Amino acid sequence: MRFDFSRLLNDIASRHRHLRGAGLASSVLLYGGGCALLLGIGARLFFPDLSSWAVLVLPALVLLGALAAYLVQWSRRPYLPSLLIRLDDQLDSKARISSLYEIRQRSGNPLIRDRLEALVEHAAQNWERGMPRPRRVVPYSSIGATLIVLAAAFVIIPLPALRTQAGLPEDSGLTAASRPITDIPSARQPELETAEETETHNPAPVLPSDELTIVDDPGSEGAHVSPPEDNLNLDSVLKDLEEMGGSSSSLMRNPDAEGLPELTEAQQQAMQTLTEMLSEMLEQMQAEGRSSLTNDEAQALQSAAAQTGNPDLQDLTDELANDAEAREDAEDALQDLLDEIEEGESTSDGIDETMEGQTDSQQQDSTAVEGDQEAAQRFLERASEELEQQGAEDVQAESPQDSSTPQSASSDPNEPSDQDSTLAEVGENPEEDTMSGGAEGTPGEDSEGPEQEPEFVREEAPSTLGSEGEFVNEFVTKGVPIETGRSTTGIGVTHRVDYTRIDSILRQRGLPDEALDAVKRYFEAISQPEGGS
Amino acid sequence: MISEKDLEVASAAFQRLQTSIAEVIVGQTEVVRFALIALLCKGNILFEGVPGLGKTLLVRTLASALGLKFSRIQFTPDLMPADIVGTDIITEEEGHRQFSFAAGPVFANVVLADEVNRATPKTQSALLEAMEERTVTVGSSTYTLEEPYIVLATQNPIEMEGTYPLPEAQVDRFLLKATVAFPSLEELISITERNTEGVGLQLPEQTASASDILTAREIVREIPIAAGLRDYIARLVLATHPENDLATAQIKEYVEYGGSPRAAIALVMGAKAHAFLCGEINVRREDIEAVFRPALTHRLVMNFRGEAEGISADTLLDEVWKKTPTS
Repeated sequence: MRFDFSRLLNDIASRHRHLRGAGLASSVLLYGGGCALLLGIGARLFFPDLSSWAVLVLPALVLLGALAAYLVQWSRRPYLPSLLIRLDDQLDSKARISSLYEIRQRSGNPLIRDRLEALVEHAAQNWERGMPRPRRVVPYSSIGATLIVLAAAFVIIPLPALRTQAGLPEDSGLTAASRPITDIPSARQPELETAEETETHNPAPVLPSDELTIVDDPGSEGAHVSPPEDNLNLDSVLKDLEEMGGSSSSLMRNPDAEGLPELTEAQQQAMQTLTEMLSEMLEQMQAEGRSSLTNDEAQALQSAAAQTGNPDLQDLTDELANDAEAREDAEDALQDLLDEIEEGESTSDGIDETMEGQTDSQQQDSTAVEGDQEAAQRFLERASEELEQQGAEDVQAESPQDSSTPQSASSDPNEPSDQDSTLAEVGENPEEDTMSGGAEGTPGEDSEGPEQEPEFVREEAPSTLGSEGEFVNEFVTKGVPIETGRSTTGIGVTHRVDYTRIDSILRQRGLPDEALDAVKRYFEAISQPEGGS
Repeated sequence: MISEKDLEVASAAFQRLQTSIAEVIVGQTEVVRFALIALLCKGNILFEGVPGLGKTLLVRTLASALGLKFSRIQFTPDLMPADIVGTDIITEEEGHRQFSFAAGPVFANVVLADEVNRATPKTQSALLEAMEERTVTVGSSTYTLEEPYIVLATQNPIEMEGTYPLPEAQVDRFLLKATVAFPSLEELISITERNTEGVGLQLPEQTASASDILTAREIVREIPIAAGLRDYIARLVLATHPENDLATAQIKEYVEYGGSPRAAIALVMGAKAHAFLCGEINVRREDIEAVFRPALTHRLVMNFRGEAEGISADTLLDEVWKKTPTS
């Protein structure tokens, strides 16, 4: 078979183009893969809202770039004289290949050309040995491909896992989306799937109910705020309540912006308690014709004011508790204190501030909350109503007793606690409680002592959050019969507490008239702003 | 168009030529090869060496082996151009007086210009036309020299008193400059034996003809050189120019002028002739390397600093060869 120098030239040029393309493509893979990985990490960490597909474009672009680089180099025709002399040097073929190319190009002497072809045919048998693959191609390609795979995997891996590794805080929106659905009762699962989607877009209204924390701290005057837990749900709250027993409990809120509605309601509840206490003290002082305040009464006021979180009220009550002279003529001070509370300026200012803070934090934390401020406000109003109802329960239970504070009431082991009393009432009239479905336990057991376990009833009320859809509103009652109905606007659900039913329950308990009046005033007071409940 | 027979005959003739010269000249293999290269490239060669190294003997041996007309010109300070090229003289023939041209020693095939640097530049310049154009002009007449024609000049590098260094224009017309080195111990012993015993030194018989030389010249021109090597040669020459980017640091420091285009031509042709003498049919890198220094060493013009510090051109060329990229 005759030696085909033209074919050899084509093979040499083809291999050169291939190697040149592979070399450039490997470099593109290496450096592009590194850039893609870095950009992918940056995009996922600093632009979490960026679509995964958008981030996946980077590795794809690198691959396309490598392919384009290969094709560009492949399409470029090599300069054969330079290529051939390098090949001659590599093969140590005494420049015969390039000389043969030259003599063919110039149509040189055929005698010399034929002799050269004979020599080249022998020398070019292993010509590929003279064009080895660049050493960097394999490592560059391998590392580059690895980097690209890593970049793609980095995009595919869920962000919470990455954030945990990176030690960064989780994004609120993604956290809500990844929240386990087991937190929701299985009986309502189909409806809650829709609500879950709503929560993903509007996480702010959902988080308060999740992060509502109930703590019992008998060693301190107030209650501390426990850290929020991701898996906190109504069942765990109920369990905590049951574990608290007869001791005093407080509904506190997480100091985070997302728990501000609960904190506000707790402060309102404490403020209401303090108001009631002040009113009773003033009436008692007028009835007894004295203007001085006893030490116990001053300390009770101090404790109640501490629950409000209002520094002005705390200062006033501290002065009464610590200054004997101030207690001697305390009637005016109590009246001033009552007036200040009724004005409610300090309390409303605090609420406004906390609401504004909540709005700001929601805007910063999650873009999904934007545009849903009205829905969140409506939710907060409903939550406020619920907590007011709970506050009414507390007053209902405390009013028959002489003690001024819940702490003092629960400090007497011979008397049942306010919670126990309420539960006993529910236990006596299980059929009347249409919403709670009845409560367990008996009055006799409740009166045996503070060791008796309290009973709580979980209420589930289907509600709507604006026009976004339905969700389940869950809360705890203590025997208070709550009626649920459709609002007059047709949007959402209203919760009503009928005082006549409460009154009948209390009268069956044989409570004194003062206590019944206190409960009635409480209901009238809490029903005034909203036009009755 | 050369034939395969021509190629074989010419190759064989030059093999015989090298062998016959080597029988007379002890050692000096490279010098002999350079002389043959100059002959094959239609060039001239300048031998440089101290007296007594056999430069004249080499030229005479070459002329004898080739069977060509040989002439020797001993250059002296009072040598006139007419003494070299010839002159018109008045002759009387059948009662008629007329001018007739009396050819000088330059009219030969192999011309030995011994100690060429001892003549004045005017006389030295008389050789310029003969060396380059292979013609001699006397008065209004121009005479063509017979091919093959070659001028082999010698000069003594140590005896500089009363000498006239060759002008650059004339030096550039020498294809190669070969330095005749002192023989080694064994070579020196052999030289004494050949010259002192028996019948003495005998010039060789003719082993090649003028036609063989002309054929070989034609073959040499047909020998291909790769474009990559041609590029390499161009870069080598440019690297000897201090103003060029390819120039080395020493070239920039010590050289005033680098190799001329004649240097590049000399490199290409010399490499081809070297390949032919080596039995190759294409130019290799080693062919270029073989003729690199002799083709360029006499073409580098040192600047004042280079002259003052006695920098050798060969040293600079070694650096150029090492630092110029091959591709």
